[in-house]
Amino acid sequence: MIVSTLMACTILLGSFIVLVLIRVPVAFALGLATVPIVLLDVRLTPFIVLDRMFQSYNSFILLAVPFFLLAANLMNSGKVTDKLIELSRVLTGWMPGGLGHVNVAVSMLFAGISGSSTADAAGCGKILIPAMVKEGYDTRFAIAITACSSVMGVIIPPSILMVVWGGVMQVSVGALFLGGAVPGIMIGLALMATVYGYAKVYDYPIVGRPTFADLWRALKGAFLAMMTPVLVIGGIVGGIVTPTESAIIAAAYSLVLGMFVYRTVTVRDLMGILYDTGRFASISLFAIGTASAFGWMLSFFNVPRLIVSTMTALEFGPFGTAMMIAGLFLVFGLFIDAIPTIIILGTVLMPVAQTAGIDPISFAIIGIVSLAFGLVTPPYGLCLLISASIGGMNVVSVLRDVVIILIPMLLILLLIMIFPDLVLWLPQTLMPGSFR
Amino acid sequence: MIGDGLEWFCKVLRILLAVLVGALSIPVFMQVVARYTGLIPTYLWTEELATFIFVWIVMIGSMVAVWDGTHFDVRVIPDARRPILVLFQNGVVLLLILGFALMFAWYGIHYAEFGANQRSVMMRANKLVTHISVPIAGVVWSMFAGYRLFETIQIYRKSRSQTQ
Repeated sequence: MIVSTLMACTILLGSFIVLVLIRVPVAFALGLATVPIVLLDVRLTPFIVLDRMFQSYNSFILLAVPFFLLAANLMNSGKVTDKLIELSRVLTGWMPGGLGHVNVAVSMLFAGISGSSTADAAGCGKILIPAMVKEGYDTRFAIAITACSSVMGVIIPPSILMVVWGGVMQVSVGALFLGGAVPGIMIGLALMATVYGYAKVYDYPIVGRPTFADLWRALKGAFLAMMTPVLVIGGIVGGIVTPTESAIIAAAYSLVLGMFVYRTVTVRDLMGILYDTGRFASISLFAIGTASAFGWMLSFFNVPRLIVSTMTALEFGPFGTAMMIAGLFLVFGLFIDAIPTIIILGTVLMPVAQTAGIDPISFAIIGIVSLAFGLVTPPYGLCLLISASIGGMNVVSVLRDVVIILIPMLLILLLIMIFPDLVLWLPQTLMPGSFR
Repeated sequence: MIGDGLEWFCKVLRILLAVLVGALSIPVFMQVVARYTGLIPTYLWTEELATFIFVWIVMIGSMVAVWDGTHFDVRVIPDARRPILVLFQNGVVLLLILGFALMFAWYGIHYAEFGANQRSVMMRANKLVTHISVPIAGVVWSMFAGYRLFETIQIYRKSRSQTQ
């Protein structure tokens, strides 16, 4: 038989939702959901689905994912994180709620180096959550601020999600990196304002006023680590290196820092770091394959066209469409990992955004920021899960603080939808070529 | 005993995974060095070799994650407590993974045969090198998911005999 668009859509999405609900891993649920359609439709064979899945790994740009993860893992093992914390302590620790600000500032610095939110939550959380609790901060607040600030990892460049987005949707990764910078910094400032509010209400302490000597020492200690974003972002924006090459440069640089400059990474450690990188990267990347097969099948049955025509008929306009896009990414981000969501939902919504007159860079940043919030919202909030396990608390008990901290962050998302120039200004200024 | 054997096999896969991540950086790094320093010639095969290694990293990592049970899942439904419900909850998931794995292995053989008839553009390598990873992944997932299913049934039997 020939399966109709409506039937295909119902079977694909319905079976995927049921499979995920009964706890089949997302990567397998995506693959299994395509099976009934392949069996029903005479035009399809398992071979086509398998090939679609396999071909998605044949992408040079995706190689950046393990390398950025490797750089982040090397930074965490090489005590580079400690140097960044020391610098953040000197720069922001004098404000009320000192360690809370340090937590946000170090996430911003780490985000500029690693591109991975989970590595940030794990690396910085291990040091800062116990330190905050020791200084009298509420554990729930310490967990929530660590989790929420770590989402900047995928918004402030470099970003693994932006690399995947650029690779899948043929958008300039350099322009995406630049597009994420202003919203990322705005989110950082919004988080600091929230910490300040908490400090005033709960009378949280300051870390201490630094002297010039402290500042000089901290700057000297973190200088080499802080050169990473210059190498990575400067290299890509300047058109000198590709995202994958910049990722390997970041990893090699982190290795040199860890093994030869700070001498905290041994050859024995390296094996563990390489394994951790491979394990985490492959879990995310494997889901890219099955998500690609699933996404291809949606396209085969003209589901994106159906969605575009439906959405166009509703005449939401650019802002309404942006709101709808953000809403969908936020909902999907609650349940599914960001990378498969980009492949399934991003590719489907791309023509919707284009029809509504939303710039591809702006669309990408709205999607990525919305997905980043999914990293701290249950049931599938990886950063929240990591932070909560470090703090030794149940995720549910920290939800109230997460919601309070998320509100100003959501306002920033709203701002970038109302004023797309907040996203577009930097890439338009520095990479005008990517808009032609 | 089978469990120990599979754990040992998984340990080998873990070492292989770490080695491959290290190996992946070599061709990509060579590419960067060749392009920006001129110390070595610009080889065209480096990009192709990197994607070959990449495919194996993804496949081996997915195998290890089936054994460790670390593939991402969504915990909307709370953990079952009664042994029969635990059996049902874990058993259905493992059965579905096993079914997918068997299909992957079966159709993967045809896919590997298809790869064996092709050559890569740069290295002129037989594409069986990468395509064979599909049926291998299917077989290994089947073994791992099958054993985990067996374990789940054993745990249920044990808890039932204890209550009787």
